[in-house]
Amino acid sequence: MTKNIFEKIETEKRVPEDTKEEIIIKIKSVEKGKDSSGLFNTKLYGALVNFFKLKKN
Amino acid sequence: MTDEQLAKIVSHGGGAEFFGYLYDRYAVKVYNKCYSFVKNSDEAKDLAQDVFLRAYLKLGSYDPQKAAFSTWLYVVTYNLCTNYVTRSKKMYSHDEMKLGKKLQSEIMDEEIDIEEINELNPDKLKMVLDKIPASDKALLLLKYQDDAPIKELEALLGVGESAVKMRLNRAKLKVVKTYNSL
Repeated sequence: MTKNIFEKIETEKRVPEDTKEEIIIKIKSVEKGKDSSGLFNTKLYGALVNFFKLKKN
Repeated sequence: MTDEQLAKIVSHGGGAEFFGYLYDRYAVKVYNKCYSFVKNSDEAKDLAQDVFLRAYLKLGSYDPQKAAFSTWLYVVTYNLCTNYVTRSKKMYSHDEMKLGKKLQSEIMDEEIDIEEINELNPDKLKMVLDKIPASDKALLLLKYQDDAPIKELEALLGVGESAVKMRLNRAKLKVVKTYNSL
């Protein structure tokens, strides 16, 4: 049986060093965005609802 | 800790630190896969970053019952690479697009054994893989380079066993026909 040619043609180039750092920064900013939208959707929304309820009363 | 356990932790809010472990395990593979499509280190780096960011965002939809984390990640990788290459049409000249369409119309149900492809010249095969449609290249790499089981391909591609086998056979046929035309 011949060796798998698709394994033979696989390259092993080095990943540029700053790649991981840049990805982690992007992920952290996504997380921050989620936190902000969470705040807006729940806490801020809740605060606005309460504000208008109080105003109505 | 297994990939699947790490994936679960990240998808339940584990964050960037745990995702970093998954990155460390797969960065070389993902980067080299991207490189094999774009043949340029800057573009490969950008694509690899997109892959990991996409994987992080989609991790909640990963189901370890359907496929190994590695197969799932490689599918994400190949989808992005295929879209990138197809969109930019960088790898396809007008003649190559015509060749792809011609091959598509010529493809019959002739069975191609993988041993027939294993006998080919590796350098020439690399050239051939850049000439056939990127989606065919991706499927062949998933099966024969990443050793993805047919069952996992069925689940991740959302098609049945016979459809996966037919697509694989057609991709192999395109390889052989393109190889012989070089």
